[in-house]
Amino acid sequence: MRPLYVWIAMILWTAVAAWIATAARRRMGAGASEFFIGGRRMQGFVSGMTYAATTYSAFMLVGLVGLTYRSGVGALGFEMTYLIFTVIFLVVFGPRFWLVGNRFEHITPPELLAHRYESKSVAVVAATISFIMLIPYSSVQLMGAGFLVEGLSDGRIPFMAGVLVMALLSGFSAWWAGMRSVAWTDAFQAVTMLVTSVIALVFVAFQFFGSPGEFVTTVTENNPELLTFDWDPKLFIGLTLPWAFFALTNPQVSQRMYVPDRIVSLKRMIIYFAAFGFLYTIISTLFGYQAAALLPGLENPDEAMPTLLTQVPTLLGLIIFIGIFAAATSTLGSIILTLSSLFVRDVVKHIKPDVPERTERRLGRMAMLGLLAACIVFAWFRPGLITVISSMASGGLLVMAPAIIGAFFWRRGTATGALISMAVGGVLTAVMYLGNIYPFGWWPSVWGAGITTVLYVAVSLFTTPPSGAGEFIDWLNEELEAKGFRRSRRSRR
Amino acid sequence: MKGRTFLVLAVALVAVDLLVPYLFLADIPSFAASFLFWTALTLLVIIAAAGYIRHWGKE
Repeated sequence: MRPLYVWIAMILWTAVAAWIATAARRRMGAGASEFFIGGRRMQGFVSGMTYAATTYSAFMLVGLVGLTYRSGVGALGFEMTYLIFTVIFLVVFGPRFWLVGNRFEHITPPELLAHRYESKSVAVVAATISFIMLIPYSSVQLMGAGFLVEGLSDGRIPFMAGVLVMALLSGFSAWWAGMRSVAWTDAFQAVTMLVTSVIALVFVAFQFFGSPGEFVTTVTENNPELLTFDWDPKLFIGLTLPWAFFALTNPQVSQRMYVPDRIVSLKRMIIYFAAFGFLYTIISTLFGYQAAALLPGLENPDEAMPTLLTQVPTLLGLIIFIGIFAAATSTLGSIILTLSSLFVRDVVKHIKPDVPERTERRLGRMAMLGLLAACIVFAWFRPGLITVISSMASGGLLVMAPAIIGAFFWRRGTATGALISMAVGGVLTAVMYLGNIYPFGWWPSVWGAGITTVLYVAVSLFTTPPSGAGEFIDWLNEELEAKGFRRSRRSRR
Repeated sequence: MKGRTFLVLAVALVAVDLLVPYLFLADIPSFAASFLFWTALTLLVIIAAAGYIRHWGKE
């Protein structure tokens, strides 16, 4: 593809996103809450789409397509299992995060943990784990953009050009009006991701197979091995487990449970996200089957989608490229904004509690620059461990799950239990991933989850719970009934 | 729904999600096997969730 076309697509896309971010800024009010979580004034559609665009990155149309291309229907099972867990977690934890966040004016998920465990150190450790795991993960998004433009232009657009354009775009969106501009551009990008991928999928089905029915017949006859499920259970569980808890452990998505303006928006957020995830997962896996039927024998399965792009007309290739670029940009912008909020609220305010809100925003913006610079440098070196890094990020964040779940449901959960489980579990999981250690064939994420849970429970039982833990949980249960999130005992009778 | 009932249902769902494809569908080379199963199961969960949250805020 001619480099000029790729440049035009990126510039046009950047212009539209910048225009949306500018419009969002006009609606932005004062205060840290306004900047970092949109003042808790987001409506259902925007909340749902920003949740979806933050969750679904370039992994879907590159990584998941490649995974389906290589190993078939297990890829769909892995991604659908993630979606099932996320929908359940949103139903269970969405109202809890939303109520507690509103009542106690939390802006970051670690603030909620600090409140419940009555320990700011818990927030600092949770924020630190998030930085360590999410900065490399963000760099992977940048690298994805770099590889994509490099591949599309046959190397005539350098890798770093793609990296820098994406960094600039996502950074601008987060910098300009915080959550409001990120959420609005996310909503636009989510719609773009869905529409472009549907157009491309249907086009390929008709153009190369004759019809969607013929496509199904061709795959069934020529690639039957991709429709049988032969994954090792240890692989399936090891890969799926960290993603299953993604909704709780990744602050860039759990923070979004704070943003809906009212209960009806929270409900819509869950439904819009679920519908988006369902369709996008099916579309991404079907691309994998299309690539397997049309482009057999690729050595690197991650090249399946970029190679498919070279087989379609230029305009369509650019449309899909924009969809992938949008997916990566929206994920990166959201992570940068969330990490900047963690830096200000959970680290800086821990050291200097009386920071004025105006200064919080300024510090947040400075943190964004630092985070983006770190991501760009990381991407510059093009570490060859992309898969390991991505797995480690999700597996590493999983160590926060017991402390988060216990915060809402277990009165005996203590700050020491939370601290030790997250710190020890985090280090052990990272060491296992980096050292490629898979005891008895089970993945580090499985060991990490087990060790963390045991540590959290055992240490909590031997230490004293915070004095307000019971009160916190009782208050929350009463609020859930009062706000109609669950039926009261009286009305059940 | 009581917390314990919800937990039992969730565990049963995870078991079904894992065991059905491994035990009954693994060797069937058709879109109507594991592909359809996971798609239908996820759709059912989404519909059930939509039904469950429908009454939020109305009491």
